[in-house]
Amino acid sequence: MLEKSEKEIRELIKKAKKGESEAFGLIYDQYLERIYRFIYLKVSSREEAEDLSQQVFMKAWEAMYRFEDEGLPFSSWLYRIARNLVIDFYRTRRQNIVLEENIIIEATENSEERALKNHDGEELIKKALKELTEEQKDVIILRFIEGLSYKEIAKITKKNQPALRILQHRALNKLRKILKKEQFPSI
Amino acid sequence: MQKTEIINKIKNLKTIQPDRDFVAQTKNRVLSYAKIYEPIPPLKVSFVFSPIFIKAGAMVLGTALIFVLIWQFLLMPLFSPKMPPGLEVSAIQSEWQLADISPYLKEIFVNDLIGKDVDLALTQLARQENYNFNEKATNKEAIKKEAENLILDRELPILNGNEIDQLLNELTF
Repeated sequence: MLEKSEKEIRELIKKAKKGESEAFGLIYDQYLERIYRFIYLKVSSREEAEDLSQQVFMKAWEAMYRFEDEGLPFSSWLYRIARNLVIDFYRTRRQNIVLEENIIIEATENSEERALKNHDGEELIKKALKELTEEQKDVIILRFIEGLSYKEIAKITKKNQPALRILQHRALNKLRKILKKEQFPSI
Repeated sequence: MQKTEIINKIKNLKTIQPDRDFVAQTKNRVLSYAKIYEPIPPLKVSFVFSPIFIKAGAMVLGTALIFVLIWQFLLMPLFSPKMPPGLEVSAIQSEWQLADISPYLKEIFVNDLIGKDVDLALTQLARQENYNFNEKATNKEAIKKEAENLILDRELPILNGNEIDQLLNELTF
């Protein structure tokens, strides 16, 4: 899909604010993938990520009138909604998720497929990401996967930029230690 | 492992994508929801402080104030129930303030004194009477005279119980 320019996005937002659902549909096309990825990397479950992504866009539609143009991309507003929904999700279903994760890890760790996946590094880094705190995850995903500026991340997470840099530094150190341990478990 | 190497590995996660079917189905659901649910625009602060809103508010408040004043001073006295002059609280209060109660107090004091004098006089009289009676009772001559005056041969009627009761009733009532 072709990326729309900021100007085009703002036009769509204006129309959506007036109640044009078709314009909102185009906004959905533009942002769903990013929002889904952000949520998936935080909750580590495709089903939950799909459910929460849908909720993000429904909530965004409900609150379109409250969206104020502060010179930041519309995506920042959507990320903030997504982040709040994930926080709520963890508040209500944290215990269930921990149980599910343990079962999944136990089931897959014994398989040969697991070893192959670990080899290419994607599963390994996903597993390492799970070890980070929610705040550290936010910074790492938004900064390195979604490519947002510190200013935008600060707006989403409601933290100042020096605090974000410290979080990022600690998160990367933690990831390095986890990956080293995973690659060389005997050391 | 170097920091840049870790960052590159993280960036590779950008390949994560949602399922195509999910994308299509969710879009339909969201658009259906958007057609059903019409968000209500919030009342903006700029609207609240707009000149039209301020004028309208002032007119409403002014009208309400005028109505209250008319009710309080013109209509309420007409509709309120009339009290007899003797029961009006204000009339009683003014009468109480004007009334001089000192003559009444004097009268009560005088009456009290008179009452005491009367009591004293009656007590003295009773004592005197008692004295005279005792004196009479002890006077043998007087007793003889009294005895002479008695009619001893008078026949008394024999009365039954009912007749006694009737007589007693006549005497007592």
